[in-house]
Amino acid sequence: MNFDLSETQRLFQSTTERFSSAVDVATRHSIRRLDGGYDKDRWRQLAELGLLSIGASAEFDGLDGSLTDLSVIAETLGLHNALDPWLENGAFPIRLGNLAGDKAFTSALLDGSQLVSVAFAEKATRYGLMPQSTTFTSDDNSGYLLNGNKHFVQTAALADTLLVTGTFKGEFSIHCVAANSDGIETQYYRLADGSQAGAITFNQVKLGSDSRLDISFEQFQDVVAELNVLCCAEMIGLSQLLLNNTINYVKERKQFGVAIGSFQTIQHGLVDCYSELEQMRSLLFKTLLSDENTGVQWHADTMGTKAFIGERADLIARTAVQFHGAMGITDEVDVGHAMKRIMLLSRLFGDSANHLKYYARNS
Amino acid sequence: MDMNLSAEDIEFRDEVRAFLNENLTDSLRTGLARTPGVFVEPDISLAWHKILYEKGWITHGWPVEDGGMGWTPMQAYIYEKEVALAGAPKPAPISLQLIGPVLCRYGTPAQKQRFIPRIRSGEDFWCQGYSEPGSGSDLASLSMRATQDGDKYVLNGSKIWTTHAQHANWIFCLVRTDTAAKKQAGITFLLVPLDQPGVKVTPIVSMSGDHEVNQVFFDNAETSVNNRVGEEGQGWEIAKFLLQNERGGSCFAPKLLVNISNLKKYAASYTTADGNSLANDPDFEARLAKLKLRAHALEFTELRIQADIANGRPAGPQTSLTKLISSNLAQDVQTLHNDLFAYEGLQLPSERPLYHDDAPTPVGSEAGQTSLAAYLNGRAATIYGGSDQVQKNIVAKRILQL
Repeated sequence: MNFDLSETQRLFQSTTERFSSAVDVATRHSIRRLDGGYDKDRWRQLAELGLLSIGASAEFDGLDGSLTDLSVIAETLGLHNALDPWLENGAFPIRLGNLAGDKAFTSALLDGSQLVSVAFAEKATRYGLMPQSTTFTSDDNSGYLLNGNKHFVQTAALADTLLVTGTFKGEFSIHCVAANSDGIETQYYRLADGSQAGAITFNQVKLGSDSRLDISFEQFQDVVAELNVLCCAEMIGLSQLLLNNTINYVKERKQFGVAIGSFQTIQHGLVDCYSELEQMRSLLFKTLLSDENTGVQWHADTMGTKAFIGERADLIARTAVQFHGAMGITDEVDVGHAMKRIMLLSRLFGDSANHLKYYARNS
Repeated sequence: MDMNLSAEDIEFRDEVRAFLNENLTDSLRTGLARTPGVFVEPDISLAWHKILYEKGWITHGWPVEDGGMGWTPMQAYIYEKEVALAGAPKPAPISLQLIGPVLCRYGTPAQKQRFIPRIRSGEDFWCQGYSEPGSGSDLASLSMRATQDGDKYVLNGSKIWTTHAQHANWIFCLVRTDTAAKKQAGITFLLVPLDQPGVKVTPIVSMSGDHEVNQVFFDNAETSVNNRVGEEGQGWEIAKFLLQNERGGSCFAPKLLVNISNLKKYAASYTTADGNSLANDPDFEARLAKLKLRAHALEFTELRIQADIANGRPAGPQTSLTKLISSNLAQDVQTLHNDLFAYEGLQLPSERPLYHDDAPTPVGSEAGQTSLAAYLNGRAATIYGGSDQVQKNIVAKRILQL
């Protein structure tokens, strides 16, 4: 029994830390003001450090990282309040490519020259993963026609390729779609974390016969299960950041002639946060050390874990804002940015209520 | 990071299982299941104690040189988990988990020789003299006096909330030997025989109707100076060592997980107003799921502490954290336990014990009959061993450094 990180994991931790700790609030604002809400040069730098390759299998030129290895990166990104869409535009499509056994697709993502957004969310299904309003049909030349709509397509304006979920002859199907294809109409909008998303309408978009990724609905759920775990890891990093900053703040901030950290109500509030954070870490460990990586039980366990962690990360964020007083509600301190990222992550792939329900029924 | 069971671990688990199968009788299981109190009575605990003693497993968590088993943290966890799954009672925790380890650490060779074999065999039954009527959370304000008179101490004062003092023949006490010193510095740790004219034990009945705790009065009672553990004034250090053992290095989660899975079984035989099974009611399911997640998280918090200890990183104030988490979780499990029985959960039989043949017949289920008393006794969990508020003060000061 051992909960310590390996040498390699510590190496990835320090690499991620060096990359992400350089962004202060002013830099964050300037990057978010760029077209598309992110900097593609940063994406290439992140790739050069191996932070994308780690998610791909060795036969696809990757580093064969485990889910635990990826969690170390996600948590470290969270701890530094990173604005890089590593989880949604990196780990997500790369793990899909891995499972599909698609070398050409996967290895092309690893140098950061291409950015892929996964278009999986629909208004019609709320947090459900089985698409209802997107269809693929056969066209005349053994290719496909794509029709329908998606929203919450993250970093859509910078994407070269969209991975779109839909149904083909009533069955789940997922296809690569060039982002500049004819028939795509996108409304760009800002999300909680300052990134840009797209609400996309697909109208008779022509796709080649080789556009389909060979992945079943169950496999798609397996990948989402992993991504749920990575959301947890990033939320734990963010929660640690919030707690650290708040502890430092209450030691310095004086009111009524003393540091507010000397008040018992502040101390007990922070102990509650600390206690929840330790429990969040523990449940993440349990999930990472599970023997399973597929099937309903695994999906339920990852969703239960995310329900637990999301709810608590939210509590820690609200406490951090509260204990920072009026400073906490400005756009100039880290806590608000961390809170907004937690709000996004705790809802990504399904909120706590959604996930708890699935866990309660299936675990 | 790994959590793998080695071949030896699996062999060990099978050995524990086989042992429990063979030795844990139905009457012992029933004794625990039908006890609403925090502790089982000696007729149950000592019977099981004897079996474990004969097996050589009675003091598995102790230092090896004093009778410990030298199990790895994984083995200790496997053992606690199997014991919880099997529904075994806990043998005399005050003797085995509190005073035993104190004597291993601070006792003189003569004290060890005199007391440890009798603790291991169950011949001596100990109780704990910490709290006093005037000092609860502020333990260091205690005022029971011990004055040295030749080769003995003369004791005056009173201890309260003393669990099972009515069954015990020894009590370990924190006493004040120096009234001039700073309050922690004047405290000494003494072992006192209960069977003497200067000691009187009076019962305190809990709101559940159980008699578990007592007040103990000392009126010129005596104990030999040979029964002082450590030096005069060293009592507070020993007290803190003991409290850390009381609070953690613990294994609460396996038992809580068993209790939680039982809730689902009980709920299956109750219906909601619309005639559906309570077990499938969305609100019930959600409450149960939340408890289960909390218990799984606690399970790994405890395992992380075990792993730290095994890697030479002592638990220290982390035990305040597990005490906080586990006692609150235990209460919330008891709350759902009681809620699910609806009207049946309001029965509060005054007879004890409830595992004998002459116990009253339950209205509804057996689990429903003991539910409320267990719930009421469970309120103590966030008060004893240092209240929630005291634990939070400790974590704030020693971990968060506020």
